[in-house]
Amino acid sequence: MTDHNLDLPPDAEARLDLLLAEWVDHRGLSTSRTEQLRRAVLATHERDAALPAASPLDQGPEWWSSLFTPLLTALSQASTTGYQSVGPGMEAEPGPGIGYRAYMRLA
Amino acid sequence: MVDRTRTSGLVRCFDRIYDANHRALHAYFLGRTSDPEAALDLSQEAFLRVWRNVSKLQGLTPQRQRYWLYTVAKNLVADLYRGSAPRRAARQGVLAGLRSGGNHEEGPQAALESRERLEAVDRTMSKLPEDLRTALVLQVMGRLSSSQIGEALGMPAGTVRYRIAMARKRLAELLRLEEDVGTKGRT
Repeated sequence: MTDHNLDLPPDAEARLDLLLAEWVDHRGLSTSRTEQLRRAVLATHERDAALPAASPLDQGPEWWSSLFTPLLTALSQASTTGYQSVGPGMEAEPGPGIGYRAYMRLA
Repeated sequence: MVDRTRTSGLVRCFDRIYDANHRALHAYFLGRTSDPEAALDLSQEAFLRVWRNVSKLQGLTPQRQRYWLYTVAKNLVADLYRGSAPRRAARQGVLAGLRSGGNHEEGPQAALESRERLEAVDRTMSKLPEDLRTALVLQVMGRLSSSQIGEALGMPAGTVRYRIAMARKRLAELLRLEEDVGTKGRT
């Protein structure tokens, strides 16, 4: 630490205290704002909590793309008629993101 | 019934944490950012995190809760500086009410003078180095002692006292309070 003299003359000290008190009075949180902030926090949380859990319909384009891209790729590779497995791995039990077996009747 | 009892217990815990820390936390954010709007925004975000974690915080001592809170606060300020602040725009509506007007009734001349003084303090506060400003604002607005500030910021109380004294000295210089005193003394 440096050895600056940090003492202020008493008059300057008193004026600074008054200025800071006025500044705190205007820039600090008043009682009403304190309560408003508290309520805003709780209200925001309640609004968040009221939102339903994300469903597939709420998912973005990346989720839908991850669901259908393998299927479309496999379809494009299928060439025979009848019920076909549409691609390697797709006959296995569906993963958690896919709620059905990926079989499709091809013309 | 059990859920309602549990929820009211969590609200009581949140209220205790809020009452003990809201003034100082707001002061901390104002000291760090020198931006009243950001300070309000960050205060709300910090207390939202308190509410979301209140069941975990319930079991901690007030000191540990304060430590947790200031760790969150430091991270929020770091996020702000990185430009990835919480979605501020989404919260503008909620905060608009908090920002609207003051509740100080004055005559027009007194109001003008008061506004000029306040703006001068705003300007000089923003010119202070962030570490000095934060310590000073935590003291005058947050009403924390040097040791409580030291606890929150992770530094010795002596360093806090030095920073506060340095901040006051610089403020007085920038506001020319010492010169005014000298001038008035000569006239």
